[in-house]
Amino acid sequence: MTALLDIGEFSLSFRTASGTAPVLERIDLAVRPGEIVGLVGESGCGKTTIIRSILGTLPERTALIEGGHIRVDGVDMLGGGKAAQSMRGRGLTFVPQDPFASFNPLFRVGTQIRDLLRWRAAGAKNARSGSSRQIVEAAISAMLDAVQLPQSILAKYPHELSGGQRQRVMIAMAMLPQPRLIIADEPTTALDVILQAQILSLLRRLAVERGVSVLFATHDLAAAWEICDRIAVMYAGQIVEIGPREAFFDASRHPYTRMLLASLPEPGRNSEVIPGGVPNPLKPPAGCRFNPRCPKVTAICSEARPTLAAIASDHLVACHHPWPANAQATHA
Amino acid sequence: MNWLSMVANRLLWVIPTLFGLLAIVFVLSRVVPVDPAHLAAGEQASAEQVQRMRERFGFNKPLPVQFASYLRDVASGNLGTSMYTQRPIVDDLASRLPATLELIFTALLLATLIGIPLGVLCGLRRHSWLDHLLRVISVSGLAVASFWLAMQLQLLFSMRLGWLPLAGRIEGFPPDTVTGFLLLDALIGGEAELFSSAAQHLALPALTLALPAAASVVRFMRNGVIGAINSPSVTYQAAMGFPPWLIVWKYVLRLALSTTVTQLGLILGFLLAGAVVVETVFDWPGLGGYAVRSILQSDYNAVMGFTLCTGALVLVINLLVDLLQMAIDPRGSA
Repeated sequence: MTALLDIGEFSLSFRTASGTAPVLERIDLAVRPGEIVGLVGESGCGKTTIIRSILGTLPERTALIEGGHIRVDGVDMLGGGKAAQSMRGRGLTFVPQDPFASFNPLFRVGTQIRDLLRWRAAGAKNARSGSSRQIVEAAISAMLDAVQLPQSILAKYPHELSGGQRQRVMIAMAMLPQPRLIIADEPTTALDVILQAQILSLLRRLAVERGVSVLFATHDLAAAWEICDRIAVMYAGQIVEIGPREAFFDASRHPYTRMLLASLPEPGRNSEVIPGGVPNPLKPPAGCRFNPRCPKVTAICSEARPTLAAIASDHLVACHHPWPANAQATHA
Repeated sequence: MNWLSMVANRLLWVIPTLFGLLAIVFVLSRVVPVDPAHLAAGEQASAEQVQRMRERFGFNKPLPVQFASYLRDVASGNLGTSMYTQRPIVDDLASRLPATLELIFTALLLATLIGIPLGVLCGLRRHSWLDHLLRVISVSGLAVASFWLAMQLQLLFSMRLGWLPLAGRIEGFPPDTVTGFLLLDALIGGEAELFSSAAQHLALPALTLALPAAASVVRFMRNGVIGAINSPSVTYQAAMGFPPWLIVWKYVLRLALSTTVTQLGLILGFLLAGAVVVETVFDWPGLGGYAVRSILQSDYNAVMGFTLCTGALVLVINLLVDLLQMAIDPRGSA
């Protein structure tokens, strides 16, 4: 099956005042049609940079693409060409992290939704003519029902909505153009726990119903487990493991993944802290970037970067010394 | 806060503000070492005549008493009589106010017409040659003394090129007064020649006032646009494929305007202050020229009247600006 989102060998650096920081190293990631993939990692591991690369919102002056490709539905998203621009807001949409700041505060919610549809939605090309305007209004109205919002929010200003309502509008805007892929960047971090669960299940339900793929970036393992089909784990700009949701919790192979899981609080067990700290982004360790903190480290780990390799069906690990399947996490 | 309660709140502050303003100007004008009674009586006057003048205007009484009786007059709508024109100051001000308003509103219109598009361009093309050029021009535009600029414009357009009149407000008899704005009155009366004459006379003084104001509008719009472009809402819209022209000319423009509008009150205050100089250079029959003459002649009541009038004008302008701000920004942060 061909991938809908296809990221291959993608490397990116940021120019900073104190040197060049290799933020992403040879990222390989694919999202298949109809699939929800979680992109999990600590803050600063490069999740948001991958997302901004796909969406074309990297800071122009400082971001330096070193190599590789990002394609959505076969369209190259890196060159900034017409096809990529036309993909955004049509085949590819976005649910942002901060649903409050992502609205323009000076315009009504309805204005901002209608402008998206008028200019972006498939099948609404001549939305200024009477009949297609009715189609647009009907589509908006149906979508508000689907995300369980009253029609009255269209006449409101963003500051008059609650946090949960704002994120529901964001999901509605992501769904309305009938995209094939939605990128969601930590869409629930600004919300409380109960709202988080509601928003995530709403996102999952709508995506499954409509057959839309989702790339869901989060630092929250539990959230990823709630809604994802597959989970990719990142550490310091490298993808370390990609596996199905079940394998991720029961049969993860990469030492970092195991330690990440062990750091989760669980009844009857103390959470364990991963020793050491996140590497300096300007000078990441050579080879596997996790090697200074890894309990299984050997000489080769700092010499050669392990490549993502299939270790079981649909399960990829980038590690020279992966844990054997079904072994308990025994690093403590 | 809705706009009604905002207006009510502002109106409550009008009286204490104007009172404070009058108190300061009153004290300042009385500590100046000039004897107005002497000036009013004339150079040849005897000591006795000067003394009579003093008693007539009440200068012989203690300062608080003078101030109290002045305030009593003001409260009943009487600003006193000008020692120079011998007319009620209210009449003097009323006959000159429209000329000043026409001048500063035309200057404001010019400043926004020039400043807003240029500011947006600079914000969009930050660090381009246009941005750097306009930054130099706008910084010097702010720094240039307006009387110098006025005289340079007179030299070029009136003396050298002969395109525009040197000074004054109109050639021949003015049109019938309806609004007091000659341009509008000429339009209403359908008098094309008078309109063209009024416009030609207005051009240079309005431009002199408008250029420094345009410079600050450019600065505010530029910074507003840069702030808006870097805001998450614009990043979101770009990621969602909104057309760039829609993002800029609808969403970014409104954000930048909302920050610039808050500065309009300040800009209008500067225009009013600048009008004093510009009206003098161009012999424009407005409040500014009147104020300068009154100050030079120590015409106390006239100076106080001018202060009261412009103070009230600034309060009204700020109120209007805040209402405009509320109309643009629904969050009601005013």
